[in-house]
Amino acid sequence: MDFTFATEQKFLVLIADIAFVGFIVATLFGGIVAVGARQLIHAVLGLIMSLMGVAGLYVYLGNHFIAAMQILIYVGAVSISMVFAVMLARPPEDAKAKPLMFATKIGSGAVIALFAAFVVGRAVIAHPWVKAATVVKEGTIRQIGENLLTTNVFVFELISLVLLVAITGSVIIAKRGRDNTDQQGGGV
Amino acid sequence: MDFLIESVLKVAVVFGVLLGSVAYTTLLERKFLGRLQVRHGPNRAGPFGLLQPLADGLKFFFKEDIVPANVDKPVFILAPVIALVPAICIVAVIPFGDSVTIFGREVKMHITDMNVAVLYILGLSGIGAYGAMLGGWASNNKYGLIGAMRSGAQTISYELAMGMTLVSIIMMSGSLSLTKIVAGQTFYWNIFFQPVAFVLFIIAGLAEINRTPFDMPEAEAELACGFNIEYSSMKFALFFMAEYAHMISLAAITVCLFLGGWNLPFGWEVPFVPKIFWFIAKVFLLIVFFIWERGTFPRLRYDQIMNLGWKWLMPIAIVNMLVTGVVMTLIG
Amino acid sequence: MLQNFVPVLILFLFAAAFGLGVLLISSLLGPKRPTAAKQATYECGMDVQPDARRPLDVKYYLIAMAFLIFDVEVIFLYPWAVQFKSLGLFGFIEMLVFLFILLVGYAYIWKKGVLEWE
Repeated sequence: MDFTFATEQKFLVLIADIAFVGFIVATLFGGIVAVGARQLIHAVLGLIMSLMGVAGLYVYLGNHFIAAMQILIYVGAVSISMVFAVMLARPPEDAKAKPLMFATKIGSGAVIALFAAFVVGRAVIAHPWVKAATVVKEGTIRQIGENLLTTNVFVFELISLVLLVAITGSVIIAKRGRDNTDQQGGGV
Repeated sequence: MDFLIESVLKVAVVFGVLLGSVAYTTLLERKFLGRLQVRHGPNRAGPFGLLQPLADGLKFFFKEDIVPANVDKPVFILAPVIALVPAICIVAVIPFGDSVTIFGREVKMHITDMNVAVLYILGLSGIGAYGAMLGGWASNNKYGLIGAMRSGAQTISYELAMGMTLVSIIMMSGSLSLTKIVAGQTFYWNIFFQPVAFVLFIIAGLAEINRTPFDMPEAEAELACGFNIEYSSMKFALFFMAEYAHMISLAAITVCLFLGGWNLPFGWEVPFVPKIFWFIAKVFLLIVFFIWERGTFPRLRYDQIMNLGWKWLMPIAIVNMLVTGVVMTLIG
Repeated sequence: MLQNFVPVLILFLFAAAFGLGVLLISSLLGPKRPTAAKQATYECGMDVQPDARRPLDVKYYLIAMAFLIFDVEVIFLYPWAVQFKSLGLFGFIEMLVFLFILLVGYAYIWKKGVLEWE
């Protein structure tokens, strides 16, 4: 019995590792599509794929709540409003900005990536890492609820203020932007 | 290996049962709607028309798949799949029954017991909104685009109302896992304490899956089918299946959240009847209810739908949550 | 942890394989006789007026923004709701403050007519 249990665990870990590679590929591939696509909507789709890949990574790391938040907020809400924004935007013919040269794209991308790798790498090295078994206990929904409403109450209330500012600002900007330009865009 | 084989088998069974239920829900709907309208419904294919879903499925396979010339091809082809996959994946967290012993092995009657099941369901139904939106947009058709926008806006509005409604249930159960929520209802079902939330949830659920009387995105009379106007053959069938899969999972989720899952109320037990029977019976009755209300209610106007979601359901859900909070604090 | 998500992965693979497979089979089985008229955009049989993809009403975007904000809010309600029993009265009052601030935003968008449809 012991033997089967051990092999099964190995098999599960193997599947999880394959899934991990799949999530990484999805994240990277989605990112490339998001940057390289000519159609705006394809870019948004690429971004969604990338975000789902990241959500998968959270699941792999054992934090289901953060993964669910990632899906709900970034895929279900932020990207949906991007899709709406794309549909709202003018058709591409009057948005003919000159595309960057391929070399420029690669070059600037590499610079930004190096910089990000430097910053993240420093943080990773500086961070005091704990064994995985103890990490899993943290960041469950209970823990987050407990922390948000006891030790981090101030942050919690600040979130609602930030959201209030965001909704007010978006309404003001959207209303003003429409009034200044033509009125005939709507009607659907 | 046992766990893996068990999982694959369970997934295969649930997947097959779900597809079969989708097929026969369409037949049930056509039959029952027919009866409501004093006609027979399909009755040619097999006895009582029982082979109708099979005939429909075969026909879809052999139909020409028309891809209009000026569509966005990759998105056009992917959209039906994007609509269907989340609709199917929702069933992963739904518990159908307690556990049974097969070949001396205890088998739990759910694919997985996720500790964030409620959020998983909300998230997947959010992703489901993309199917209709992308399909309508990719079609490059005015009706399709209008249907897509309406569908997207309606789905997200009611997802919000639904999320708000669920908060009061979560407060009572103290868990996001459907299995634990059902386990907390062995004696009193949640609907006894939360009738308002139940009504809100049903309305929001029907609107979120774009079902009559909230079927604005595909209002036949004005949008000529809406987002799936340019779709034909199996691509159309996938949208159709996604809709019915959503309907079935909505019924199953309602049963788990409010109607005690596989439990009878007040701890009643009936000997020799497996508990999964009660679950299936409740889901069946809810689906019949969904078909019945389709035969009864006229379609709402779009402004009425949006008003209902934002100006009625949301405030009522917030008030319901506050009342729940006050009562629970007072009781202790 | 793994026990929880491997079955979901299997179901996802089943569903994706089914969706794509069915499309593939139907593209192999169905006839292909495209004509210009058949491939035209469907619009009541008349010639199609300009492109369908034109700017839409800003209303939809505003609804999407409002949804985004309140969705984030609802998600922050969940950790509180799960812990509601142990957080007790103090947690409830904190949540009231949180909700009140957001209800100001709700009242604002209502007042500004974001929720009005004609």
